[in-house]
Amino acid sequence: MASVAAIGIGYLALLANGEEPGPVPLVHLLGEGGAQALLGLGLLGLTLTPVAALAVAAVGFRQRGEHRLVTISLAVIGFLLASAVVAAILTPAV
Amino acid sequence: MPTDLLLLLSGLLAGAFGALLGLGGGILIVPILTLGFGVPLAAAVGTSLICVIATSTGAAAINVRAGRADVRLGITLGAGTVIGALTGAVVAGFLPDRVLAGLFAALLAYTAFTMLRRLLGASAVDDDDSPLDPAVPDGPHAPSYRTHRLPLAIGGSFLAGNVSGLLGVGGGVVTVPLVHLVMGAPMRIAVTTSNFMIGITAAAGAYAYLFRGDVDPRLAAPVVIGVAGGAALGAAISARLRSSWLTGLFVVVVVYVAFRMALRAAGAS
Repeated sequence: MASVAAIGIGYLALLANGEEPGPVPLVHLLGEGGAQALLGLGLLGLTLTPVAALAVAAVGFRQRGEHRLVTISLAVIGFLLASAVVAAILTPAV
Repeated sequence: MPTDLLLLLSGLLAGAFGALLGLGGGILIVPILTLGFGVPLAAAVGTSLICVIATSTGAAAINVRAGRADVRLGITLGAGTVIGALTGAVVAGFLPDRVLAGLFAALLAYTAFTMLRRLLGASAVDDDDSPLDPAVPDGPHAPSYRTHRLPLAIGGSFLAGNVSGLLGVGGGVVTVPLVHLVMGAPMRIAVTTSNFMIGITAAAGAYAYLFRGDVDPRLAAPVVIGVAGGAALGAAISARLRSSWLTGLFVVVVVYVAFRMALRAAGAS
């Protein structure tokens, strides 16, 4: 909800400023500051929501002593974060 | 500005339609953006994956809290879908637009076929334990069941992730039959568990598109906002609408879009 709100505010600010970033890697969008960075943060936050859900699930499994599921949850979180990091590293320079 | 408004309304429509029919909305967003707005397929797929996350996380949170989704199974299969989605998203970067359009046309045709089957009552057994049936008990008192063939299902979930990362859909079109038919879980558990997995799967694919620079944030923002609003609207009015005529309308739309996508794949559009 907060991420969608950030996207909305960033988008409205973008419209007000008349900015047209075009297709741009997320890293560059975040580095621009202002409306573009806010929009980028909203998009990043939204894509990180499933990671947060997995983290909450992992904590629940740990409290119930389900260690196999804690390991699987952490592995899936690891895959997701690794995919984000690898994608960021491979981001083309603009 | 009129384009922004049209994008917002398209997102609203796709989100509402998706929520009413139990879909993520990606199956509609990609054709709307490519055929309606002339957006390159890779950009449409990336935008669609972000929208899929927005629609699935809200519903998934409700299902998990109510004990309707099998979180254990979802996370276990999620390992396969995440790797599959990442692979699909990376491969999509190397595929020509026409190949992706052809694959999407095939996916649409399959979706239309399964919806038509449901409409004609061929899967009446499945509908008996639909997640929308209020008579079916949910939560901690729900009847227990055993799942089978986990290694095969993990392989299948990799395929579901691939479809998601390549084509910008949630992958439920693969995971629901996988959990229900291959693993033997009840249909309503298959649907809610698939919904839980969809957000995780879409996130893995979305990172590749977002960081590669395929997504135009100025274009994605109104669609995401529209889809999020449309999904909430669809969920609110779903109880008051008969789903049979909606499904029929959806099948007609999907068959038409599949035809247009096939034309694009053949280079005639």
